Order: sequence, then structure tokens, then C-alpha cells
Amino acid sequence: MERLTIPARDGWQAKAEAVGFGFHEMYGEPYWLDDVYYRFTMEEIEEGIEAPTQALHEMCRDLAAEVVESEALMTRLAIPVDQFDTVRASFRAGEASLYGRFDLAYDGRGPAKLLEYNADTPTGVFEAAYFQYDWLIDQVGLGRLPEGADQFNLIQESLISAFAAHPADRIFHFAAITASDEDRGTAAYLMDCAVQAGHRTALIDMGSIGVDEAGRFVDPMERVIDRCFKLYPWEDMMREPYARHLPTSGTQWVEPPWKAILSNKGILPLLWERHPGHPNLLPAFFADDPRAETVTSSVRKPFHSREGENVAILENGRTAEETEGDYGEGPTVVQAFTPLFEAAGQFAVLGTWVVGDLACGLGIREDRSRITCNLSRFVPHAIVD
Amino acid sequence: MRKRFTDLASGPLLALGTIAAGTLVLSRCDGGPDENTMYTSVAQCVEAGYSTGVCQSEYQAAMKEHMRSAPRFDSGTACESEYGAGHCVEVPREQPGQPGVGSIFLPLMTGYLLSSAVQSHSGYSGSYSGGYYPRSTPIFTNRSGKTLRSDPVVGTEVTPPRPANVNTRAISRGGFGGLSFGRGGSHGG
Repeated sequence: MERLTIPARDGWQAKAEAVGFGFHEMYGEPYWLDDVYYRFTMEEIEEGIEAPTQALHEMCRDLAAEVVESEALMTRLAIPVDQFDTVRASFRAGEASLYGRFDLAYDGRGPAKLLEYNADTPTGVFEAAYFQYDWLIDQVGLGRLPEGADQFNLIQESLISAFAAHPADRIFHFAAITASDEDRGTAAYLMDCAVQAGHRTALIDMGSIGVDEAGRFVDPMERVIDRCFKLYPWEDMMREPYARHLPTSGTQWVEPPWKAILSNKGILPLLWERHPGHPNLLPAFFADDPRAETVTSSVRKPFHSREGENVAILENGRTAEETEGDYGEGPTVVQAFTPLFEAAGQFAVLGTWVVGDLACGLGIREDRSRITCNLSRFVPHAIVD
Repeated sequence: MRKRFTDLASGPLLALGTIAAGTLVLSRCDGGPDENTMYTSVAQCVEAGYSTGVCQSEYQAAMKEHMRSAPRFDSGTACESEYGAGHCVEVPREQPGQPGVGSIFLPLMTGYLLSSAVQSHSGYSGSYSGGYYPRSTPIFTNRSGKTLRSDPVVGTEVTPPRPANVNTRAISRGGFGGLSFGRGGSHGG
């Protein structure tokens, strides 16, 4: 694993704009880097990244199966008591998961370590699945990467297959906070994959959803929403005014409600408890567990923090680094600190994609800080042996 | 040949060409017919808003498919024991060179589903329109009232589908999305 520079493609910004990737710059900073890449060997990818991702996914599925059958564990994970049935029923009915992204610390030497699992509203999928692939094809075409260069990226075909598993017998709605360019782009990209799988689709704003007399969710055109992808966190939906309609509305959600279990950093101590010493896990404890004190250098994270907010790095119990944010309330976990891959003053986190039940791709974000946040940048990768 | 993940000859495509959503909502004309509904007769299909020509030709196509793929019996008794009294039809056995010699018995076609080709021209704009059934699909009913279809596998059970995207009226809106206000950036992670 190496971080290398490469000439940027001429006119890549225009290329990005042409496919609607307008958020390649965010907050006035470049978000997509065209002139840097991470190089891996096939062995590093297959054994160090792909296989651990698949193994972590299996462990998480097993954990979800256990948690839905235990009210004590659902309580521990702060799932609202009036949504236990929603979560349980969706898992027992085998409602399919579309996608998730593991964030891993990996430096090409030791085993990859799970930092967290974005199992409900992972972002960065267009960058990883589409634009990164485009970059690879262009750079090979320009002769800057060898003919045999590859990329751990089966994401788009896996997404299309996962959408094709749903019958195309009704509209597939896509709900997002459309005022956010990034969220709208992510939802539109997934909608495109659904269209390629033969679905009729409609993009709607999360806030435009209504409820009818019968307690069914309704789109802005007064049609019942039967099947709906939502780029909006379950922990919020389960606490908002319409939460009371969730158990009975009849809408099939993607991600399904049982993903509320896995998109929760509370799974980190539960995984560690079930698989102590697993090479791809870091020691982790609920913050109120006395054992949390025994971890000399650690990271404290809220159950539901997004984009690296309200995360603190602790060294011998003292805060060394901390981020602010909107997630300061609520329960937290403490996880052993592990160094990230560091080069050129940048720290890299590997985001590995699981679609359906398949580990199928990689997207790397790097940050000047050890806590990857929304100012991080997306950097493409290539497999060159 | 060692394994590869990507295909450099053909990268990923976007069906709609862009993720800059805005005009991507495939809107439905008001009052368009519901797809994926089983029609028991041409009249019922017309009533649902399709043209008489479409309903008739789809009915004929379904009937043709039914004749081709429905379970066949040599005797009426054998057929009725499976599908119930009065639920079988006698059709001439087609044998090369000996037309009209003997009969076979088939379950009665009790309904049909329109093909996606028809549905995609029934009020949705956009060239992409999901169709569940690539062909008009015959439906027949077994003795215990279970609905069966002859494709893709003879005798697979169909749960009559829930009507899709029923037109209704919202009595309130805006009960989702409130917790996101004041959070900047993306609501994913």
C-alpha cells in the first residue's frame, strides 16, 4: 500500500460536472483528488481488505439476528421501545439490505481494523462506484497506469443486482434531504442503478412525505409509498412525529428498519464481546462499562455520530483531540485507538462496501486530522502488482 | 487468466446520464391504469383504463400462452380433481397429420396480467419503466382457490399483488426530516 501522485486528467472537473458530480468541491475545498492515488497489490486487497470485509459482514448479520430477539440488547442500543416490533418484524421477514460501508484502519502491514460500520446511510457511493472507475479507465488509457491495473470495485453492478432482486411492480421512491447536494446526488445515483434494474422511480424530499387517514405514507402526488429508499437515519425517523406510523404503514423501507441495529456504534462493544481478540476488531466497551477505563489510548464516539462529529481521542484518560458537532447527547462507546495509514501528512480511512451480502468495493478518504470528518477528501485507488 | 474486478473495456454507465437530479421524477399522468393488476376479463381491463384493442390483444396473447404452457390432462376427471368441477376446458389434441383426434383438458384461464410492454406506454414518461411481466401472463386457479400462473414455472403460486401506489390523500405532511434541520452537510456518513 502506497500513496502516490499522478498527473490529474485534463478537464476532470468538466467531466465531473457533466455527470452531475457537482460536489467534487465542498466548503470551498477540493473533495475529489484526481492527482493522487493509493496503490495496492492484489494480495493486499483480497486478503487484507476484501476477506476481512466479508468476515465483518457475517459477524454483523449474526449480531443483528441475536439483537432482534433480545429486548435487553435493543434497549442497550437505544432503539426506542415503541419501534422494537418494527425492527424485529423487518428482520424476521428477511427484508433485504441494500448497502453499507465499513470504515477500516489499514496500513498494508497488520490486519485491517474495524473503526465503524455505516450500515444505514453510507455516503461516498457515487465517488467510489462510478467516478473512481472512470478515473481508472482514463488513467490506464492515458498510459499513466499499466494496462493490467485494476480496482476493487464491483459496486455498481452489485447495486443493480440488488435492486433487481425487488419486483418492479410498483414505484421505487427515493427520499432524501434534497437541499443537500451530496445527499441528492447520492440518492439520484442509486435511483439510476434502480432504473437500470428495471424500476420506475421517483425522487422526493424527506420532508414532503405525508400520511393519509389509514396511516400510510404518501408522496407529493398523493400516491401511497409502497417501497422507499431513504437517505435519512433510522435513529431520527424513529424519534420524529411520523415514527408512530412506522409499525403499521405497510411501506417497505430500504435500508430496512433492522439496520438501525448495525448503524449504531453500540455494536462495537457487542462484537468485541462475542469475538474477543478477533484480528479485525479493536477492543471496545460501552462508556459506562468500568473496563472502558482500562484502555490506555482510546477513541470515544457517540452511538449515532455522523461525519466524525463529537469524537474524542483520549490518551491515558485525557482528551488529546476532539471534534464538535450535533451528536453530543446520548450514549457513547470507547474503542481502543489504532493508528491510520499516514503519508504526506494525510491520514487515510478505507471505506469498504458491502452490497446485498457481498464485499464488493473500496473508497478511500483522507484527512489532515486523525478524526476523519466531512472535510475529508476522496482519493481513488488502483491495484497494480 | 487471473481474476479482475473491473472491466477496462466498458466502465459503469448512467441510465439517466447525470446524478444532478431535478428532472428525474418519472411522473405519472393522472388517472392512468394500475399495472400489475390481474384482469379477469377484457371488460374489466377496459374499465381499468386501457384501450379495448390493448385489452383484447393482451387477452389473446395470454390465452395463447395458457394453451401452450398450462398443465395438460388426458381426462376431464383428472383435470377436475386438480382444479375443481367446472374449472377445466376441453381442447382438441393437436397431433401432426391427425388433426382433431381426441381431446386434452386444461384448467380454465381465470385471469391475465398485462405485459410490461403495455404498462410502459400507459402514462409514464421516460424510456425506463419497470415491468414485472415480460409477456401477458395467464392466471388460473386451483381447487383450493390458489391462484397460479403458467410462467415462468408451471404451477408457481401467485399472491395476488397488493395494489400499487394507490391514489389517496395526505391528511398531514412533514413528519419526517425535522431532526435534520440545523445539521449542515450530508445526513449520511
